[in-house]
Amino acid sequence: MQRGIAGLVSIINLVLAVIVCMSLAPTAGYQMVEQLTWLPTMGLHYAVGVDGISVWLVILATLMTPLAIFAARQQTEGNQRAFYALLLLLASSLIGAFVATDLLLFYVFFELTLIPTALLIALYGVGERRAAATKFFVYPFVGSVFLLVSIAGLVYVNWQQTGVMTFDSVALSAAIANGTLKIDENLERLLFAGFLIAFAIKTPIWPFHTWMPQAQAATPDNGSVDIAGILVKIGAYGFIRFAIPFFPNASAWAAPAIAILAVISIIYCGIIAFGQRDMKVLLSYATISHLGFVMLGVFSQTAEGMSGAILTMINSGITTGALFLIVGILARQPGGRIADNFSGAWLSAPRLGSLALVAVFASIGVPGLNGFIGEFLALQGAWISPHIGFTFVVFAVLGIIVSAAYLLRMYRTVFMGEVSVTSAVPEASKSELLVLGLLVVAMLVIGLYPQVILGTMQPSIAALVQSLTQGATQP
Amino acid sequence: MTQISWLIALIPAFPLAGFLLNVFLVRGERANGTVASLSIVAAFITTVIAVINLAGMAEESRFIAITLWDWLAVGRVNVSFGLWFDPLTAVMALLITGVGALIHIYSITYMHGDSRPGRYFAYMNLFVFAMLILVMSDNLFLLFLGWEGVGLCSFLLIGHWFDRKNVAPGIVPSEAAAKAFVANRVGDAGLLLAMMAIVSHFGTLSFFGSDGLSGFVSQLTDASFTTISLGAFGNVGLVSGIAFLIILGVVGKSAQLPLFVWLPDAMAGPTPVSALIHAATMVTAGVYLIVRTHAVFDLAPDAAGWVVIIGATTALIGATAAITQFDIKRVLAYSTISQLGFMIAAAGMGAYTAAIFHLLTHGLFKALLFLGSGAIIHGMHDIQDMRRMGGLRKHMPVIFLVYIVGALALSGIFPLAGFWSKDEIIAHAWYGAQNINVTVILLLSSLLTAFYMGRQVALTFAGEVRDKDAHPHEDLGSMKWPLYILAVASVLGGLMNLPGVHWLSDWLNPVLHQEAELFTLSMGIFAAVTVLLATGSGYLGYRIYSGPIGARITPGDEDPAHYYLGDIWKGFEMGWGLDYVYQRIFVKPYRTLSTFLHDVFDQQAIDGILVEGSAGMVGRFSQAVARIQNGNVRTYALVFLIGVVVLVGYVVIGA
Amino acid sequence: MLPTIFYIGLSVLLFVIGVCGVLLRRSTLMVFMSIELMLNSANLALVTFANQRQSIDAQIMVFFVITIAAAEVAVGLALLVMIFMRKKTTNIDTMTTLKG
Repeated sequence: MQRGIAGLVSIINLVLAVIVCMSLAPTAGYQMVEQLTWLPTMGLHYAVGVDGISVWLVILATLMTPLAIFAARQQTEGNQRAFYALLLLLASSLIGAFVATDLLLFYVFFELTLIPTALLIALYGVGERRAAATKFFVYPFVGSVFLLVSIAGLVYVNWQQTGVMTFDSVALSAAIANGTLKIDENLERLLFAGFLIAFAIKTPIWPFHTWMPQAQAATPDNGSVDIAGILVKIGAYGFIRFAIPFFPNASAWAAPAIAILAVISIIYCGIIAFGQRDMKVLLSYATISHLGFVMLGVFSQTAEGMSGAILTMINSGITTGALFLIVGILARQPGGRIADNFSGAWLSAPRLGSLALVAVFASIGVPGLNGFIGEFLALQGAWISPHIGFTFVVFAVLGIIVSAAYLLRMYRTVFMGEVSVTSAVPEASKSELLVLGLLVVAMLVIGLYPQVILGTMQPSIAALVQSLTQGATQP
Repeated sequence: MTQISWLIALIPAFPLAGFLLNVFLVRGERANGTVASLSIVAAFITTVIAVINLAGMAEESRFIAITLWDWLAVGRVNVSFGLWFDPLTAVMALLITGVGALIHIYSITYMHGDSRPGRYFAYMNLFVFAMLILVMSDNLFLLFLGWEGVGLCSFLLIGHWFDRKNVAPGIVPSEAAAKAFVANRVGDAGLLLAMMAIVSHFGTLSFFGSDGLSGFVSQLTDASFTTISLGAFGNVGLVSGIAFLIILGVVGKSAQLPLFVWLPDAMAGPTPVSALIHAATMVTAGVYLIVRTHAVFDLAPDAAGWVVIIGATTALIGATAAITQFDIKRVLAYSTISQLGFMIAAAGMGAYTAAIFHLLTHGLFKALLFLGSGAIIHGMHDIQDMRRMGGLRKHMPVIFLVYIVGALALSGIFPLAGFWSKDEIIAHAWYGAQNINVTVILLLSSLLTAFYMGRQVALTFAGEVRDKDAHPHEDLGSMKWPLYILAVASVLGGLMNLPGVHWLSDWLNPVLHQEAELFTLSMGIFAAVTVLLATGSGYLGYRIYSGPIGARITPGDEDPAHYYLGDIWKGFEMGWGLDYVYQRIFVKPYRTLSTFLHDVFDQQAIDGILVEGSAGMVGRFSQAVARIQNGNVRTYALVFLIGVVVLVGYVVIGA
Repeated sequence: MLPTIFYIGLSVLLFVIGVCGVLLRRSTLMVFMSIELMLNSANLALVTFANQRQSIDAQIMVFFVITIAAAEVAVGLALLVMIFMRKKTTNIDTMTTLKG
């Protein structure tokens, strides 16, 4: 019953998001803006809108919610009502964070994502779920305190200089781009650092990543809460939407350092993923590794890199989402989530194995599937970026080798090899295969015709890059 | 856009359709094989029609181009899903679809009774599709799709028997498949970097552009003096840098030093797979890539020099390793590595026509040899160890005949296909490049080639069956015709580019701009000498292993030559120990590193000290502060009082 | 009429006695009475100043304080009784449940 309602709501939501996406005009800037006064004296508004960049993340969030609800079919323990309520609350806060144009509203949603997720982990998780939930909540929360301080600082500086108290991100970034708001170099770096800490923890980027594998290890086995995978995209989204447009000089200044961290993320987490026996932990390290490409693309501050970064975020949601679902299906077996407990699953579950194969190769980044396009563009952007350059790319490209190593190792262990009576995995159910099949179709479509996504976001990205070059040339 | 353009789009469409049909609709072994074979035959016919059309076009604009859709248009990256059909593509497509069709037909019998024929044929179709995309793409990006696509199919087909613990000679299929893919990936990373460098500097990934002039190839000359700073490592020319990155890709895909280790293990796949993918087509993609981007190598002599060194060394290493193998397919695998070395060396020396010539003839006779060995294995009931064979000449006369043709062609015996193409390479090394070292190495490899083929023929066909339990029989069925056709092609393949006739040179001239070399008398003498040496070497191999030493070979024992050569022989057998070294240097330490980074660095240093540490410090601080909060009301009151006194005192005195 | 300083002196004396009572006595009842003493010392000071300044404001304040003190005594004593019923002692040192 609860599941039915939740599923219905989430599907309606998805349909609405698709309608929004289809009716989006191919121009830059926010569209379908909704603005309600919140605290007029402080310049606070409940202001939401979408543009070519955020609409895809909204679609991603609305797409993953029905999947999560669907995957929760096996959720038998605990309070059903609360479970679905929390999932939907998480979806709302995610969508809210992606569409908020008011800085403080974004902050509220940014924080709000933590609460339902932490509760989901704590109440419905496995293993050391309490500790994981605590860390999951506290760590990003500590980071976001810095974000709040920086937001306050930015708004104050703007108020001091222009006399207008506003939290409107569009107005703020416009003021910075056209030079009406000039921030002192050191102050700019300080404020940027606040954004950086919050978003770097949330993204997560090495060495702020340790909460994520632990949280993933504690999420319920059925993969239902792996929607949490999307919530990490808020970090990278925050960089694109707020940190970089607000502080173009500081982000250009910090780009090489962040690129180093991103490259370390890619290689370091890729190497660690190779040795993981728990498939969920493996996949969460893989996610961090992929987010390294996202960071490289974001901080390249070029159209290619940013497009690639956003596409990689979407891809990571689709591909890793599919892989998490597959692990969830496998985890119903006595073998649980440990790869070594399986063998030859491709033989006993040929359809599941084949779909998993496509997902694995999409994640590895084989051209023709979605992963490659995003990674290529992100790396290409980093290569031609004046802030990063090809040296970083040469090292980052090692990521495509290590990703092949760890994912193929997992696939080989689980799906190949001799099948024994104890390790035989039954075929997934029809509806599960249908969902995975749809995700695989999405991978193919994005891989072969990525313009369907990239085309929509080009005007917004072009405007963003344009404003960055403007903002950076302002003294 | 003419009808011809759509025609070339049909060439890869047929295998793709076959793949989709086999995956989703067609069930049953017979139907799978028929659909797959028909789709490749259709692709072959379409290719032939396209080639005929191409031949009728003016030489200066002899290409067919079609853009199917715009793939990517972001900033500087503008890539279309465009196909390109020019003389070079044409010969590659003919080889792929022609040999591919034969191997598909062969597979119908060979894979009879296999547990997953649907998958097998689907993957084979997908492979042909990817390979056609590779050779037909008009830009590097699409080429990379085919490039990785064939790697993916190679993974799938090597792992076709993924549920077997091991297949002869003691390879785990799933491991071999993953190894092949990862080794290829190392090279692919290089190619990926090359693509990015090209986009950054030329703004396009198209080879020639839709008009044949606006691609990056025609801009290369302008960039020949551009250099890139590598910081502390000095400067490198842009074109050289791109060339070196392409070489990395070539080395991975074409199984060259130092990445050839995956190819011997790739023999875990079914034998027709080895014939099509790991001999005739996929592994030659590297050669194709060098020839396709030859303008880069023309402008980067330093990189081209390395290509020659890599190719020649690999040729020698492959040949020495092939001498020592006992597995019938492993001999051919190392032989393939060696022959690819010849092609790569030729391409490095600028003898692009010779490289393509050898690629084509090698594709024919190596496919023949692999299919022949497959027929032997089939007839021996899955015995691959040559020590258990012997005397098969009596039991398998047809196979013996075609195998001899293949072996002679590979050994470079006059007048078979291998003689013409290989001699052209060695002759070019001597006359064209005038590089005595390379000539000697290639000649030596060529002699070793003849020797190991003699050895293989002797071990397989001469004498008596050594394994008394084996029941060899010849039951070819539909496998017969592909063998016959390939045997005839191996004999006549040299006609393509006979000295003085040089059809292939003329055909490729619009692409490669290389006039056929003039044939001189000294070249004829040179060729006669090499062929005599090869014949002698081959006879020696046959004689030794059919005679005294052959008699001493027993199943399961070392080669008697091991007794004389000791560790050198052993080293050859292990492919110069590269696999072993990688295992020690990369694979095992990588595992250890992974565990170390996770257990120690990640869990203890970052999470333990930094994260939990700072959290712990907050915790300890709060514990210290909490001690003041002892719950005693009178203490609170005292603190309160002190506070009041201080505050009031401050107000009073301060005021 | 005595000078104001004497009244203030008495008020301070009473206040200090009250503070000492709060801080030193163990019996909750005595602490409570000490608080009352402090309140009354404040009342005395207020009345004194009101008298000195011939103003009625402070005296009104005193009424407030007396009223509140009465209310407070009612609640406080009720609490005390409850605590005594539960703990069988009025020793203030045993009541440390607010410990951190």
